[in-house]
Amino acid sequence: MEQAIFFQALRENLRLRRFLPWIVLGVLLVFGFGHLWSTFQPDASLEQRYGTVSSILVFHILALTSAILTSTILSQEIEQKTIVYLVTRPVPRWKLLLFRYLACGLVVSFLGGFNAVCASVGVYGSLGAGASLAKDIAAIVVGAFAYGAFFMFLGLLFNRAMIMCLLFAFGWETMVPNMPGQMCYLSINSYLQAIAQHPSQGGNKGLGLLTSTAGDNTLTSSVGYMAMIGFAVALVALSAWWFSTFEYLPREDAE
Amino acid sequence: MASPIADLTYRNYDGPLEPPVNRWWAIAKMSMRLSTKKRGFWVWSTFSCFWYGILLIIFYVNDTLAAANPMGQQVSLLKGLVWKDQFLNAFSESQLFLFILALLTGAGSIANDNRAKALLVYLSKPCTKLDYVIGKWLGIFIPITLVTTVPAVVFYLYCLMSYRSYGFWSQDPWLFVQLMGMVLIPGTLYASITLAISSLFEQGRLAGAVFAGVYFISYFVTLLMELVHTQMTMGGNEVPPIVNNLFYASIDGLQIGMLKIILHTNGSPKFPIQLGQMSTRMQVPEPSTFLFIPLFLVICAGSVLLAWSQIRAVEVVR
Amino acid sequence: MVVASQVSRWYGQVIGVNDVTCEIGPGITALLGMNGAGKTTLIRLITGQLRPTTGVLTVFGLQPFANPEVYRRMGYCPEIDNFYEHYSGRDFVRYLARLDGMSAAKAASRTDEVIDMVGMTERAGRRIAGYSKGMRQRIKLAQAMLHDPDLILLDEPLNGLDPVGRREFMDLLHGLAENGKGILVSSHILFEVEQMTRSLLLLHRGRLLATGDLGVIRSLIDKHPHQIRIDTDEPRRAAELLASVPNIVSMKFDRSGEALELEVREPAAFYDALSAAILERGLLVRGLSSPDNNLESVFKYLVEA
Repeated sequence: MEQAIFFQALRENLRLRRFLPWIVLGVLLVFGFGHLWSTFQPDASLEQRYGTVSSILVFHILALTSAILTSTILSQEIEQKTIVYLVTRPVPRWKLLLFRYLACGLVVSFLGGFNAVCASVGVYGSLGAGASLAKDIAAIVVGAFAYGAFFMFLGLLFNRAMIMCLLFAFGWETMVPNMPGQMCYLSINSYLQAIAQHPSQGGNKGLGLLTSTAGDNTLTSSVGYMAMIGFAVALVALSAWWFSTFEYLPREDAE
Repeated sequence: MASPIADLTYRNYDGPLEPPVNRWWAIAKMSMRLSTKKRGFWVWSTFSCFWYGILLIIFYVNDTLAAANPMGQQVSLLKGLVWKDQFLNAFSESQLFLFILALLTGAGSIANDNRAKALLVYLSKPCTKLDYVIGKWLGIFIPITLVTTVPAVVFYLYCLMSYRSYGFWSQDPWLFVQLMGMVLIPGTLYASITLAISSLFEQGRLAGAVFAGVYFISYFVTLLMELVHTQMTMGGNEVPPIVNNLFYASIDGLQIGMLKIILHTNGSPKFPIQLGQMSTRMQVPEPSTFLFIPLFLVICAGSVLLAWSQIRAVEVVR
Repeated sequence: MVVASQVSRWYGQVIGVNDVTCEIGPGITALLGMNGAGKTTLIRLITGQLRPTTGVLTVFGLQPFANPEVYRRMGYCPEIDNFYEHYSGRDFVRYLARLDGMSAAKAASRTDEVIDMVGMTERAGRRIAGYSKGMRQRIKLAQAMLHDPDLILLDEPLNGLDPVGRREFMDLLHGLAENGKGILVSSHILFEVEQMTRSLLLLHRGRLLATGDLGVIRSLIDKHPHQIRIDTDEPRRAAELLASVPNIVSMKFDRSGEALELEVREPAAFYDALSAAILERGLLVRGLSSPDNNLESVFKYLVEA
């Protein structure tokens, strides 16, 4: 039963029509900018360039991918009314949610990892990013599940959660990590940056803003891991409880 | 009139057609009615004017303080202000809200019809594919254009009545005409792009997600290039043309480019304060008119054509 | 199987189901009502998609909301016409079989069985997007019967089925009912329901108007005497013979003069008297019918009341 839920969700997310655009995006945008970055920042080392491209593009696209794929975990079923078939089956609702979430998280992680590889190939011409790439992939996996948990919860709370998720992914996650004091800790991106440990942008405030590292972020990698895993687990549990407790009916006014 | 052999197409009506205005206008009206019924439409429309509000407050306070100052107009921030740039800045600041409005009004316009198989209903009426496309296009274009027009005109009239002494009229007597061209740009681009994306899907939500993805990712490119441009300018480096070109390679960038061309300006800092030569140099220069306008038109026309090609009068089973 | 006690469900200020008390047991039960009567709300309450605002509703003695134990014994064919359109009918049913807890092999074999039961074997491999209304209806029925449930709820199941399909479907339901299954069929196509069952639940504006056997309900409607039509060559003699029978409210000859139309309060007593008239007095009767002893009339009388 669990397998069926997981693989069906995986199959849905891996449909060529849905999956291919993200791959094309990774190749065109991340690889393209990785390749061009030497023109924009000629004095920077390869490691710095990779870190910059990864922070600016890979991590922001990660949030975007997660917002689009994860916020629809249930809302799409509700909108197309197929939720009825799922909630009247002898399967606990929390399992429905959890295994769909896991499948979605896996796909988002894969896409994020692919983008990180594109960035590495774009900057180094190979997988030369090595340790930085490994750390990035770890941060991406953690981020995929943390973002996913948050967006899934928003999707359960609100009818039209996608706009909120997108604003969060591009507004909140770009601005809040750059805020002074403790505010930056209210952003998932700050924790992911702590895990990824990209080279500092030095005094370059502008790049600091775009890479979401202009705030007073003093988090260590281990704190980043613990906080994000705790955050994801707590939100998934909350979402499971929410979905098991409240009514989810097909929307008659779905538009 | 009717043949003894039954017409098996969806189109049964072969009588005279009313003047076209009645057909596409009916569709446009229906689309607009649906959009304006949404509370979000009014909320985001109001938010989209916020920069004009901020400018009004700044101008009013500054003017009041200047009047109380013995030096009067000599020290006013309004002195030496590039007035047309304020409209450009207000538009730039409203872009996110206009995008949300386009998402609300446009993403589901054809996708929802696809899902409900309403296209068959529309096209079984004495209404052509072209009527349908024009109606849907106008249904997105008109609300967005009104949202961009109303605050611009109000702000223009306020400035015209209050700040002529600061050169509002003399600086650019044709500004109103330029503004009337400017306000058409967002509606035109959003209507075309959302219509194209919407026609590719059978769910408004998916169409919206794709549109949002395209918008945000391309917006990020613009943001990135703006930063690179600023960094390089401040570092005294020559900005490579690719940076300036990529700045306009987004939904936002396309509109800003067109606006700069129409207003014939490179722009100036967001807040109306004078920062000298450097602040002017930090603005990404106006794109080439002869390349950019055709590019804009090709994108809009191509999008509408894509939507047109996707609309089928029969149910296609794949 | 289903016990509802003073169940009400509100949607904000709109009431969907109002103070409904009823029981549904084995056999086929029809859930009748006009559009907006509360049929779908009641089915959603039984299938645990909704919770009652007040009252208690149990299925197999359990609260149905989000309760897998209930769903293990319940099958549901919703009214909606929505599917994973890019799936084939077989893939769709097999996926739901897996959600029913079947192993992959068992799901595959059971899927083939139910698809065969609804007559979709040859077309089950095609994408649902290309299915006709009737084919979609059959696939919905197939998924409702997958796990051999004790209780099956069917919301407007006959919509879109062709006449042959309807007949096959009704035979299928009768077969299931004979095996002790409980089947609740929601519909507003009365003559079809009548062919399926005499047991009904009648909802109107959210309230339960009547529940039980159609004949019993009809006999309890005193306000409307039973209409009986006797086709005979001697209508006047028939009138003469029957005039003394108690509980006859009115008599009239039809326009052709070949039938006597009566309104009767206690039909059982009347039929006894009629038998006597035929057997003992040699009254020649060609036909006997009761035009309002049917579901449509019962429905009309109750709703009008």
